Amino acid sequence: MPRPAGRVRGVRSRRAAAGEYAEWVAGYREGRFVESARRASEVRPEDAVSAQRAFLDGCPPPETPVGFRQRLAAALLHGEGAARFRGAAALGRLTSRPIRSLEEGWPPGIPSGFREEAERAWGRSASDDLRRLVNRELHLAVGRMLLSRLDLGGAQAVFDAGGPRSDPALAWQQAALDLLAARYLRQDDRWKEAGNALVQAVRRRGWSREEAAASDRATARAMGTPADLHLRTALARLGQGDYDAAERSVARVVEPVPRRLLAPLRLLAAESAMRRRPGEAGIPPLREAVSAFPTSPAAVAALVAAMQDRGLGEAAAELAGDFLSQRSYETPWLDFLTTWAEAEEPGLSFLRRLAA
Amino acid sequence: MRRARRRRYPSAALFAALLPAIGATEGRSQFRVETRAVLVDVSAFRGDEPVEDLSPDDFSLFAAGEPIEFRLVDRDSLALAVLFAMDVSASTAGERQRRLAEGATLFASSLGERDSCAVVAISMVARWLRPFGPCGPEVGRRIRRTMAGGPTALRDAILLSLAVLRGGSGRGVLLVFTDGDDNLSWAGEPEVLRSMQATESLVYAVIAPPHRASRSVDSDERGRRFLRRLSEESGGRTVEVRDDRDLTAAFREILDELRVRYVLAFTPPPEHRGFVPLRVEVERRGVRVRARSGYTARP
Repeated sequence: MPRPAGRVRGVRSRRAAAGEYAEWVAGYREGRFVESARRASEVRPEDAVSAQRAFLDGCPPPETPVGFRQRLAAALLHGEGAARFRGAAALGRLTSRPIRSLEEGWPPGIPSGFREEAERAWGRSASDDLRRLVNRELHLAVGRMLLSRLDLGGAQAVFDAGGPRSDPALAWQQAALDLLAARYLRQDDRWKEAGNALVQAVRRRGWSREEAAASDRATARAMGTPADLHLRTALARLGQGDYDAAERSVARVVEPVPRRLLAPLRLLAAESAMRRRPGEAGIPPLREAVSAFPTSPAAVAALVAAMQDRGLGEAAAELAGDFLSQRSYETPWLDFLTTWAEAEEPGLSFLRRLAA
Repeated sequence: MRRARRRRYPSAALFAALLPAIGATEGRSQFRVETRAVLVDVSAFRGDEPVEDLSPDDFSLFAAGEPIEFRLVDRDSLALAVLFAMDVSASTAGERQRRLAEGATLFASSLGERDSCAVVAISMVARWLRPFGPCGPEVGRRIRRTMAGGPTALRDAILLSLAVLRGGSGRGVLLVFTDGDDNLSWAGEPEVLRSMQATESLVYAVIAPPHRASRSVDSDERGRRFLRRLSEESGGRTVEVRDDRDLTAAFREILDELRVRYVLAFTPPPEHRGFVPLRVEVERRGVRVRARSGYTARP
């Protein structure tokens, strides 16, 4: 379940003392991730930029393992600081400059286990350039950390800053976020592109469904699951008011689906059916959704609304009363929309280990 | 325009058979009907001052554009079932929550013995802080003790609250407190509006200024606009405060309005189907009224 959005803690800016920057990077590489990121976030951005420039100038060449790791750690320091303390606005060039200074490909001296792990996560062709891989992992990790706190604006800014939408995974995650913002923040202009962008991203994906299914990255798994794409497409079509297309997309889903997709499937089946044929058509799938996830706020709210529309007020009242008495909740619908974003995903831990 | 035939409500038994808590203003004869009664709460004002001396002859009620016969019900005979739906998300934490609890305490403590009160907390999910029970200071205590935090699923919470109000006993009043922000609801605005119409609850909202940490000013404003519409179409209204220190006064304002409202009742004609627009008029110079915009005719 995504963590609730909290306020980004207020940070008092101060000047960076000489030599501090190297200490933060070293601290990060030694495993003091949060503390180092917090300290780097306390510095005025313009001071951090000049301190970073001096640090990068003094680093060993990027093709050496140490040079690579120091640059990566510098990027992570600011990425994690932005996600935890300062928000997406502070990300900018502090992360992009150290990544840009890396060489293309995989520098010699990086243990082969990292490359194998990257290939399992994203497939062979999508992992052949470590600089591109690092850029994707960093922006996905930071953006999804913000997404897990439901900071949609921050997450979007990070995915945007991840580069042009040439990277399918970033493009897909951005489009999934567009759907979430359109749905919950009623930003209707985002419906139109999002559905098509998802399809395009999946087509440009450079790895197979089998590779995606074996990935531990939620984004990769979602991109490799046809049912996931059909459901998100249905969501986009619903938002655009094309209910026939929405129902067709739902009908393309082949059951059984993974449990994580069961609630979205039933909810979208119900919604598209009710939009086309107001009446009782939506109630059976909603009952199934509530039966599978009786503590899901979305499933229960949808069924209560449908029951009331059909004049089943007493049953709706009973269901609503039971739900209000629950003390724990599952959020399968929201998890689907946020693509199961978690505060610390495998991508972040991969980068931290790579930089250590 | 044709005028509705008005008369004083002849019998408490008519509604006693249907809505046991309703009493009539006067009358002796008794009869039973097989259909339900529809209640229409009406607030009347001259300027900003409530008008308290209206008689049944002053009102006209129109359903689907046609005048319809109605009775004026003694409001004090209607027990209230008040559900406080309180936004305790991150935007409410701190001083605002304390003042909110004070306002709710004042409101709940001023209600009668026959009235009942419940509290629903609104955050990421809606949950009971207290199911229906006697009103009193316990309402405010529950709000004060709640941990505030997280995002807000406002429309979902209102939808569920309206649903349980229908199942409660007494005249349902939903009292919502929020800053308008909603970033997590499944239910859209049409679903909530239909729910309000179906449950025939009276909706009041106290809207606080957006929290300074709010990330979506547009979303807040959209939420406030929706609450204004929801409450007005129910016959209630919103009170928007500029400062948290005015919260108690906002609750008092709503309480005062509830105490001086009029309640019209009519038997829905069998030919009515679906949503039927209602309009209330008053033949008094300078007096304006507020009442629900319609009702949902049940087969």
